[in-house]
Amino acid sequence: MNTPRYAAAAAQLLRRYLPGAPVASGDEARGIATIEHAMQARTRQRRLMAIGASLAAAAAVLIVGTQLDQWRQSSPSSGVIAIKVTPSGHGAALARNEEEAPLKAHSSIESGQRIETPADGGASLQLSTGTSMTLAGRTSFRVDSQGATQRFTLQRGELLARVAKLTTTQRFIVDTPDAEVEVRGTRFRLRVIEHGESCGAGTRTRLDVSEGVVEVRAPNQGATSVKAGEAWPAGCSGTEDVPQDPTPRQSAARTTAPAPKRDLRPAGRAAVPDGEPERSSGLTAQNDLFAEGVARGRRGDTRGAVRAYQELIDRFPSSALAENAMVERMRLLAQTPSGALEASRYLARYPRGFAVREAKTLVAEP
Amino acid sequence: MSSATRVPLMLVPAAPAGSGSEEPGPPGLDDSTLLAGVRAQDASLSKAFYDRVRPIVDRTLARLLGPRDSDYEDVAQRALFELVSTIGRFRGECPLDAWVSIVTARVAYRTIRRRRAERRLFVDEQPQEVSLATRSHASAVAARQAIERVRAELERMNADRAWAFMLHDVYGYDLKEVGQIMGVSLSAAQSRLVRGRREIHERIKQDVVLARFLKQSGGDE
Repeated sequence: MNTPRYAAAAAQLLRRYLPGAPVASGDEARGIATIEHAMQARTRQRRLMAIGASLAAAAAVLIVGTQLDQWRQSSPSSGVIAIKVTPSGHGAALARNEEEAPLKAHSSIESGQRIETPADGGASLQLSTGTSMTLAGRTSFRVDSQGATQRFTLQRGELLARVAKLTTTQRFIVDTPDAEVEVRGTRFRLRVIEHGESCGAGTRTRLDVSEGVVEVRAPNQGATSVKAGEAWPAGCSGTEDVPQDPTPRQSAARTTAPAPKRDLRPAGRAAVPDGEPERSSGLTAQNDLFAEGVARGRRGDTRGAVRAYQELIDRFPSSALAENAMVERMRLLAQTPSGALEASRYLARYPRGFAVREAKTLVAEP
Repeated sequence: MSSATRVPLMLVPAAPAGSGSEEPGPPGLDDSTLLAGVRAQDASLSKAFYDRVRPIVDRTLARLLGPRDSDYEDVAQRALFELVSTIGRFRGECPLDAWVSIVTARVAYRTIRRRRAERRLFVDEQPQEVSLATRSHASAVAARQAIERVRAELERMNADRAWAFMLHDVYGYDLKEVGQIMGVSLSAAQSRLVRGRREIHERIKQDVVLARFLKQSGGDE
């Protein structure tokens, strides 16, 4: 840096006449006291810093621990999967071994616990993975494993499941008394009926797959892949009812849940007399009607299928299956003069439905 | 204080090679022992530490504040407190004297910056050396008047630039130390210095009398 001439000269002049230090030094006693005071302050400051550092470290450990815990709870692949269950209707119970307690809304359920639903009740389960399941009436459902392998047992009754996509390390398996159902992200309906001798080699398990692929393994029948729109056992999907006997048979090797020992109906509700046909729960009836429509349509019984769908729509107009039933009926009647009329009805009722484009095409066709 | 080319007007004369300090400490107590004791809050070393640093504090403050400044003793006490408080940061990268001088100058700089109404850059009192016997009376008067004019120009300048000029070119701190004292980066200190030099040069150039005096006194050197 070149210093400008006058700046350098001015600096030289000032340097030459800088004042010197005072002859007598300052207040020595005060200076020494200041130094001792500063030493003490430094000690306090260091102590405070040490305390602060300890607190910060403890807080960090706490935060990390909490985060880790939350991550473990929410991470489907690394820890226990949280399951919340909420009853619908009255009388559902949460049981472990022989102990039973009324099921409360948003209860947590753990491995080994069982849900028992009465004839006119049900329950819905929500897993932290995003999977949801709905239990129909007269169902006995047990959680066997909540880890990377999610394993459940449907002892009797019916469940409707919508399984979230699984990672490569995850499995979702439902055992029934005589079969094992494994899925990889799908929607399906699984039932255990009371009497299944009429078809499917006597198996009591009934499966209808709405989306994806489900693998079923049953003794003496090997593994079968059931795709969307298909049912298992083939030709058995129909209107077989769920078990009438609240105490099901313990017939399969995989069955480990003890049979319910008490009537789960709410107090004051009369038990169904022996021999009198029981009513299915609303969910069961909806599913049955829809399954009947599918089965009849597959067999070529268009009229019967349309009738089943219509009954579903009439009886359960607010059902989630009502729209599907209407679409199926529209498709069955597409080649008939009523096709355009059905499509118009669908558009009027579901202007933003999933089959709007298909319906509009039908309406536009001459 | 590291520039070898600059006029060796250092607040603390250069230390003998290898010793790292000029002020003799108590018998048998070297700087490293003294510093270790102060870091360990050994109160018995308070007097020794005071004796070691107080002369440097005084020299620094006398130049930056003037020995008769009304706040002189308070600022000196603050400097002593600051020295002990920050002694953990002294890693022996420069002589102890230089470090004491920088810390003291920083305290003085802060004090003067707080005096917003009173923007003094350096001492008000008359330079003592002006009346040295080696100078004639006339030249001494001329020098005193020239210093007054330079001081007046500095007072009119941007304070930060004037401070950078004074600290570096007059008091002998290097740029890094100027940055430490003023609490700015090295580049900012350099920028202030360059602009300060340019500004004082332009101002003196406008003052014909002062410019002539400095030209002559430069020729005398």
